[in-house]
Amino acid sequence: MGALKQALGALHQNEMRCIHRPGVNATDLGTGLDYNIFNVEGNVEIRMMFGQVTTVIGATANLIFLNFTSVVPAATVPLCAVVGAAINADAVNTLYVWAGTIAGALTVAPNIGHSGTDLQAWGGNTILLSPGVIGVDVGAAGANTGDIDWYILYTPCYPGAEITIL
Amino acid sequence: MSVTQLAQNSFQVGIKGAVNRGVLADMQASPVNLFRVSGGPVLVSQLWGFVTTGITNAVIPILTFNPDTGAAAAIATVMLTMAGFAPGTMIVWGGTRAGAAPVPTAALGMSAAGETVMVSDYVILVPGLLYYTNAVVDTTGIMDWFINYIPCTPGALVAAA
Repeated sequence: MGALKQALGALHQNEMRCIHRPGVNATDLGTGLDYNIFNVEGNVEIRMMFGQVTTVIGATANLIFLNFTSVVPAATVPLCAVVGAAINADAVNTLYVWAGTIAGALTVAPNIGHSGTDLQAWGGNTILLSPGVIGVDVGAAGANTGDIDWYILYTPCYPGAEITIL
Repeated sequence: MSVTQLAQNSFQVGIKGAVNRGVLADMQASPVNLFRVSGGPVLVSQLWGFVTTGITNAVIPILTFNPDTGAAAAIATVMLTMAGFAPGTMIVWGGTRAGAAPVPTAALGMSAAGETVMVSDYVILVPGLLYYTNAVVDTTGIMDWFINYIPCTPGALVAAA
């Protein structure tokens, strides 16, 4: 069995993978509470992550950002800085683009992965994550209407490493 | 594994490509439709044109994207005149809206000053139509256009428009 596992591991290709998490207002923005979007099962390299508004955001002035809660240690850290302006009234197809850095803000972009003046570039090459949970911090403004779909592009580091939606 | 569990799994992705083969009528009018994004967002890694028949007039295309929901907007500044561009000239998008116009290069994706590259790994495009407007039409030139991209959902696709 050990030899078989070793052989299978040798065949493993670290191919890129993508996953789409559709927004559900009842369990996401509608709660007014921070919510989780992706479960990281094993070590992965993140290549890009962004949100897409699929139902116009309501009047609550949420200031959102992404965070990560690792399994070991059991601690939550921000993945980026808070978005530059509250997301209230953001239209369908507004994008929230993570720059791949902790210091960079989640950037709002209309339709095309650009900010108002120019491209929101991916600042990191790849970001390593250990097992844990990626979540959305919605701030203290409270419940809101609207939906955000989230996408993540990543590479698993070994057989069985995976990201699933929450 | 249930269908629900299957839907929660990620799917393997790679770089895909699409091509819009030009015809003589393209540059004789404006706008010229290039590609349609459908089925979900895509991550664009490269977008470029390739002159297959020489261009005569001082055409000045502006690459533009019109999402299915939302307003159309230029994704690059206006090209300088393309008069005299010979077959083999590449028109390479740098991936910026406010930066330089798509850069004409000679066959290698290189400008006179150096390599022309996307400033980011990827640029997100939601479903919509990619085209260029052209204030000065041309009577002789033909260009093929190419795009490389990663689909963000299994159904996301870019096809010639």
